[in-house]
Amino acid sequence: MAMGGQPKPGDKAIYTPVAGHAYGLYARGSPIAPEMAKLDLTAGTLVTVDSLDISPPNWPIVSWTDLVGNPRLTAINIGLWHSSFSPPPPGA
Amino acid sequence: MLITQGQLHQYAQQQALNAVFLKTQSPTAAPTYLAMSQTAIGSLQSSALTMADATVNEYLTSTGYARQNYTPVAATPASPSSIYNTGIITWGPFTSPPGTANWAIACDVASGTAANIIASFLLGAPVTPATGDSLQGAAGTGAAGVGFICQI
Repeated sequence: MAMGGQPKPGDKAIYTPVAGHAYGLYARGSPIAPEMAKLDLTAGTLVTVDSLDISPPNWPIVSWTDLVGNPRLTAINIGLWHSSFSPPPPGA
Repeated sequence: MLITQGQLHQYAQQQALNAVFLKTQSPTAAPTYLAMSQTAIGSLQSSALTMADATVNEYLTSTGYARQNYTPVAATPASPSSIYNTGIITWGPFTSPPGTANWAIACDVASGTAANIIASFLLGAPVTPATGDSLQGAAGTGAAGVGFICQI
């Protein structure tokens, strides 16, 4: 089930890309270096909408933690927000 | 990456002087953020007040970029006193090439051009992330050139 409606701060979602590709890997379309792969937004990651970009394209900015434990903020294409993020399970 | 010591911009200089000489008190505690700027070396002016300044040239969020939380330590009890990040700061992953960055800029809002510029940090070498890459700045230790350190 994809995310519906407009994102708002505090919304939580799970990154669930159709093909299972990590966010940067999907954009690149070819393998990325291992040190970059471990910093990528991978399938199954829980994200929280931190804010909406004030400037166009007004995409949601989500907070998440990468595989090595770094706190991250990433702007998410609004089309991908609706197609590649899903509501988290209850209690997440 | 080696990073030069941060330079306070006009907004922060005024905030600091007004606070320490008890003219007005600074704003309440709040997060600050680090932006990436493509401005050429020598072209970023300390008189630039906000991220709307024509010389800022920040990465675009349409590349997956977003400003990152700076989360610095409290100013050190030393003279000169300094402030710096203690965690690694990572931008990305980028979904298209964001361009070449020469500067990190500390500001007070997560996005938008209304953010006040606090300080700028010149990167030791320009960085040009590719699609799929992330960009990391080292955690500071208080030593010059390590992390994003600003000193008075």
